[in-house]
Amino acid sequence: MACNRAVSEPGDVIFELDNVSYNYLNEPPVLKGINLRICRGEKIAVLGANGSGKSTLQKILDGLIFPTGGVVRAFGCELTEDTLQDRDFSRDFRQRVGFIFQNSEAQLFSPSVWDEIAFGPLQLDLPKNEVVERVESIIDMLGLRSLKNRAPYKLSGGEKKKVAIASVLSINPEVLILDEPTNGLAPRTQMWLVEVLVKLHQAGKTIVTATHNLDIVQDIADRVIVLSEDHLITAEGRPEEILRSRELLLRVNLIGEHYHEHSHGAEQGHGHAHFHHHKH
Amino acid sequence: MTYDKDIPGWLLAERPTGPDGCRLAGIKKKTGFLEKTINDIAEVLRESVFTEQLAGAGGMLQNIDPRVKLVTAAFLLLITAVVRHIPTLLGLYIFTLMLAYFSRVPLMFFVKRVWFFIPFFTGLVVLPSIFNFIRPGDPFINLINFGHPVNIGFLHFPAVIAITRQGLTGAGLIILRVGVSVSLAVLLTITSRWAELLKALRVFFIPRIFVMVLEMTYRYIFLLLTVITDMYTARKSRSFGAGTTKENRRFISAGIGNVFGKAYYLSEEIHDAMISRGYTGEAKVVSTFKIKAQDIVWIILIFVIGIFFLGGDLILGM
Repeated sequence: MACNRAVSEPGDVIFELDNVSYNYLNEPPVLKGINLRICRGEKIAVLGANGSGKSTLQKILDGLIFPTGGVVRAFGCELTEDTLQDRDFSRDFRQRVGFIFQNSEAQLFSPSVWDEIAFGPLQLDLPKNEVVERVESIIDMLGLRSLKNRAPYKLSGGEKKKVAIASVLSINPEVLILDEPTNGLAPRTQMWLVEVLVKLHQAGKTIVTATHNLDIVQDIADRVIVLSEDHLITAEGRPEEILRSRELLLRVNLIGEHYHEHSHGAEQGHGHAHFHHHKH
Repeated sequence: MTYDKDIPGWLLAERPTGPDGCRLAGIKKKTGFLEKTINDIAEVLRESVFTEQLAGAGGMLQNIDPRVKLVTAAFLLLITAVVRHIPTLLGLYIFTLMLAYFSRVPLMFFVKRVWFFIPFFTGLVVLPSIFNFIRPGDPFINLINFGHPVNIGFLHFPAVIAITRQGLTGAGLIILRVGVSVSLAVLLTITSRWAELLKALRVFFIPRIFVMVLEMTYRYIFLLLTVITDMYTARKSRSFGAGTTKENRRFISAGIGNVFGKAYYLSEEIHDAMISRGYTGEAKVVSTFKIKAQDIVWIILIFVIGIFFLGGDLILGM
């Protein structure tokens, strides 16, 4: 397929995975026969138990690893080690897709918060004044002014996650891939994160979040993909459908028998399902 | 999934076996070498945090552009290396103490940090040169009088073993020179943030990639130190007694392997995170340093002071 780097319209397919599988050297596959299309402007949650292959799938989407079987296309161009060696394509692709790692320690490698946020724009060869402007405005947007000159190792878990998000947003990507973004965050920061994601989606960003936090799924997704423990896509659908399917969530080991869905729609007015652990 | 059936009986027993209440055995646990070492590492960690505090203390040196500070420190080091008289070096040392004072560096901390190791290392190296049987000279203090020269194998001792005036001057000169140089280096590092200092290295045309590797080394050493202290704390919370030396050795070797594995995995992840944000193997940085009027004044001041010490030293030599 010819590479088409034209700006994509809402609804265009931006990621296309055909029968994708992946296995690390001499080990059983962590992804099997994945067929998936992601369109521009979608917000997708990838659900699955630990070790179901969510992170691997996201790394494939970000062109960090390449499938051992099948084909991945992004923006109409096949994603291979070879195409990502191409200077123009790789710069274009890296600018369009941002990846927020689960481990903020790996994401934050620069000596200060300011440098961290400036890293991406600098790699894109933006003029210096534009780099400075982007960094400063992201700092204001996410309320990081007081952390500006701090070293990453001196930040708290929540602050690290905020800086990680800032460091990717400064590239202004079309697609945001987030790996377990709420892990280890306090409830307040989780709420903050969900709000940021909703705003970014409203601004037209495509958002792909891997999570096992069922409470946030309805906010961060309009389509849910469920990976089973044998590394296949076992279900796909709207968040309400997936969350209501107790049998499915039990089967993929996301919930235990004592988990209950509560709809607080009437009393709280936001019509969300919440999951609680009860003992009978 | 049910839990109650899976919990073994002994875990549900009322109270684990052990002494009642606050019964003291009267036997203290010994602090092992492992605990001491780990604590020392933690101490180093805290100290570097402390020095970052000094870097933000807002004193005189803290307000100078790191690049200017680096260049002027190099200039003063050069002056220290070429002057040849003890009074000049003493003057330079007093000057570093003044700099420390005006930069809000606690003087005791500063003096201790510089002079704690110099007597051991430099002192030991120059010690032999003060005796007349190593380096002949005018006797200053007579130590032993044999009455006649003594030959032991290939060693020849004069009749009187003495400390010489030339030896003492030479040793003093070297110790002071090392002391002043170390003081300058310590002042430079404790009044600057590491990140800025490393960036400033670029003025000496050190390649960007090299500076970047140094920055990342500095950043991740802290992380790995935390991993190590956490590992030790986790072990301590589950161990009873100090453990034998053999057990400790085994813990350390397993720990080294563990940390190495973690560091390797982390390095792969960091590389991915860099690639994902467009890194192509070429380090690109933006410098936000700005030379201010006070930096220009500082350069002139240090130049004048340097020439003053150099000139004074030449006059002393006449």
